[in-house]
Amino acid sequence: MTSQLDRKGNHFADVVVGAWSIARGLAVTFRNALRPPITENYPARPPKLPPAWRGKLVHKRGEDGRPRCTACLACLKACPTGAISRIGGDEKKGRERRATSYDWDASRCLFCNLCVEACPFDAICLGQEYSMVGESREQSRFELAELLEPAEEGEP
Amino acid sequence: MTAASPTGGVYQSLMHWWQAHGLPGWIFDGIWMVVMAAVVTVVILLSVLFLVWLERKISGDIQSRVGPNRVGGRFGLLQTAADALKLLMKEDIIPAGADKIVFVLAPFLVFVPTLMVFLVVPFSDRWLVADLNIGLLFVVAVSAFPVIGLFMAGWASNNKYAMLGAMRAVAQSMSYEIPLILAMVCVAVAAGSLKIGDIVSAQEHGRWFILRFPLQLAFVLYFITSMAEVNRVPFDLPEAESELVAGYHVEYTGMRFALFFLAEFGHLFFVAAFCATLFLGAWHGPVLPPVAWFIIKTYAMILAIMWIRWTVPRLRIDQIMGFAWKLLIPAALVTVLLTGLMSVL
Amino acid sequence: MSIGLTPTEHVVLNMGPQHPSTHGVLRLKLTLDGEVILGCDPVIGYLHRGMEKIAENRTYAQFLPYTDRIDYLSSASNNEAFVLAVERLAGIEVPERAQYLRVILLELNRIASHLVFVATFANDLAATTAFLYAFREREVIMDLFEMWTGARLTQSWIRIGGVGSDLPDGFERKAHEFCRMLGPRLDEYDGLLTGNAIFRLRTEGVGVLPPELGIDWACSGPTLRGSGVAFDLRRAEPYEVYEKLGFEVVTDAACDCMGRYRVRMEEMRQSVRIIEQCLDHLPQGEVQAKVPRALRPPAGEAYGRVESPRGEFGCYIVSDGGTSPLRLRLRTPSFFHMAALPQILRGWKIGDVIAILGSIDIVLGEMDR
Repeated sequence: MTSQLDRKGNHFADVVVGAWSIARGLAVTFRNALRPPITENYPARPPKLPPAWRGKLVHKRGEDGRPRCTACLACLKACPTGAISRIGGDEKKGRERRATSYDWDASRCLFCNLCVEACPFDAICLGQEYSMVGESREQSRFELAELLEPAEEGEP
Repeated sequence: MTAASPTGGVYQSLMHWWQAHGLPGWIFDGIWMVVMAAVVTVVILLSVLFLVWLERKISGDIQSRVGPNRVGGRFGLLQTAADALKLLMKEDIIPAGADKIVFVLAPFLVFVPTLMVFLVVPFSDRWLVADLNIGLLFVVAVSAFPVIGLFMAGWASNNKYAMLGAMRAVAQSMSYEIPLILAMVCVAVAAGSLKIGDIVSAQEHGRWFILRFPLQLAFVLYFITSMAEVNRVPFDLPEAESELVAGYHVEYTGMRFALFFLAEFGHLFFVAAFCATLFLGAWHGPVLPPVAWFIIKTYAMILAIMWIRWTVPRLRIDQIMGFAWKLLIPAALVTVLLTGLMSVL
Repeated sequence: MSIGLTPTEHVVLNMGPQHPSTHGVLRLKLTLDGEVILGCDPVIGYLHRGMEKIAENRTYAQFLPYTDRIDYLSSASNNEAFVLAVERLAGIEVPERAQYLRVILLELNRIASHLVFVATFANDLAATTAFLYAFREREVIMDLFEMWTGARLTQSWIRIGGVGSDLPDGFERKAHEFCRMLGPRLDEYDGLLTGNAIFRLRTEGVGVLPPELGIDWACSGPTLRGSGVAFDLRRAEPYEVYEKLGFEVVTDAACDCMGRYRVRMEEMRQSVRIIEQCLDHLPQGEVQAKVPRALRPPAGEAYGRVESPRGEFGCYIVSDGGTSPLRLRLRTPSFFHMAALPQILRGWKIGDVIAILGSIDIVLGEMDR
């Protein structure tokens, strides 16, 4: 376990080789100093998110402007952590039913997409919103009204 | 303050004016000393603030990122001031069981010599506080003081790891002082004097010492050993954060820590300025005013030191010691021998 | 023990759970004689999250996102081990296109994990710049993941029966660009680190792991291959389409920190080779097999093992025919490497602990599960 400098060898050659290797390293750093920085100026500029980005849960609207969700509970059963809860719907049955309540807890969600894939009606997706900052646990729980995507112009 | 010093002209005329009003000369001397000390301190502190900012910007450039860019405009120029203000507002903690007097004194013993040593640095042809006859020796003597302060800091912290860090720092400092002094001896031999003014005037008209064989070797030695004296990578084991021992100043908070930090950068500035003075012809240079040349040469050295710091990894303590004793000291002795021979021939 | 008339004692130094260089919350109790390490007693469990117990209360599909978080630096390999075991139990055939996509994801994860290794190893040795360069390259991989799967680190995209989705438009072009870019960047790291005299002083000859010791203590992956043992699960027990792909099993006879570092650097280049082959030979087809919504694999046991960037990562599942596993056991390489660590550390100095620990490349998430 002796130090490298105790090795037998040509010390002078070692010094020259060592100095040259440090010079090579300096050349690398110098080249990189001339490259432009890659820092993105967040939050002054918003990040560029791809379409596939898995952010805050979004409830999609159907043609009639109502949420597509039929409160079938498929997403609730698929969720590993129990982030989805309190799903309720109106009194109709099957495809005609529409959800009236839906709770999603962002602090429990893994953003794993299993709920989206489980949904037979393509009613939910994980959207592009990334900033769900809150000052209390309650503020990380969202209800149906907060999750619905914005209505189109002229729709109810 | 000798009358022959470069600032003697200002001193003499003010002294005449003072004595013409019938006031005793010694009071004026006292005021002059305080004013000079204040000027030096302010200049150094401002330089240090700028240096910290520069280090962060340079490291950002090398690492493909932007350095500070929020505080004080697009270039973050007030970042260091903000950091210093933050440190001032931190809680002052003295560990239980620490040796209070030594603990409090240690940062000053590190900081004050760093300021003192600037008394002999020629910022320009007219700006030199004191051109002592033994200028070089003064630098060597005063540069040895921070080691004591460092050790006091490690000891007084009542912390195993700080103590270990301090002992390593002392061993490193003392080992690297030998080749440092020998390199400076080479310069003294080449200039024929210990006076900084003589060293500077020996390099006028482009006869910089670095161009004189074998002073190139002395320059390399001085450069490497000064990095070790300032505790910069690759020799920064005494204050390494990512190693096992956090360092000698681990127990220091707030302004006390700021003093260590400022002392390190002040020492860096001094070492670069002194390197420029001894080897690169001080403030000599065509066209531009002398102080501009001083700044250019000093910052060239500083940039080189920073460049190395952000490129190479850290050496282990036994490798640091081996490097000093088995490589640098023999090289320094050979350089002194060669310098002596060249000055006789 | 004593030197002459001065009695000396052994000191126990605690390299505590809070330390910048232990790569997570790890506690090492080092017994020292001066600076020399006589013994090391690792205390683990600070990141224990009860993964195996959680698995008993989730369905197979629900447990998949949890597997990502075991070895979070290369989440796809954890997915893969789990999914291999389940598919073996349930007899699910994965379409060929999905297998190629899985290999692309696995190799991209391998490169990302090795880049983190280079970064943290260099950072521990104070070459901070290399840390930022490696993370700069890793950002490109993160962008690729984001574009395809929607997540940067814990993608959960290797599902039971296939992958989560097909490649989006523009992915192949960007992936090819990345592969072209990485080679010269790795050459830069060679210039900055591998040949650097100080880096070599810190890593050559340090932390020697003799191959016999490595095999005895169940080391695997680059830790073992850095000691000259050519054991790579992608060749020894091929899974997915690795049999059809041409790549080398990288070994290095040096047995020291430098050897392990060089193995990982070269493995990145081999992974680039694999990715390019996959992109060129990607067949058309489905990306997901038909898997029942409530998957009930028949009773039995299966062990799925993959070559994760750290070594052999295995997932052993005992099924009783229900929707949840009866027992799920994770065989993680970092756990076994940590067991071997006291053997490697003996005789070295404190300053070497950092280099040796860094070169073994442990992740606390998988060590503690």
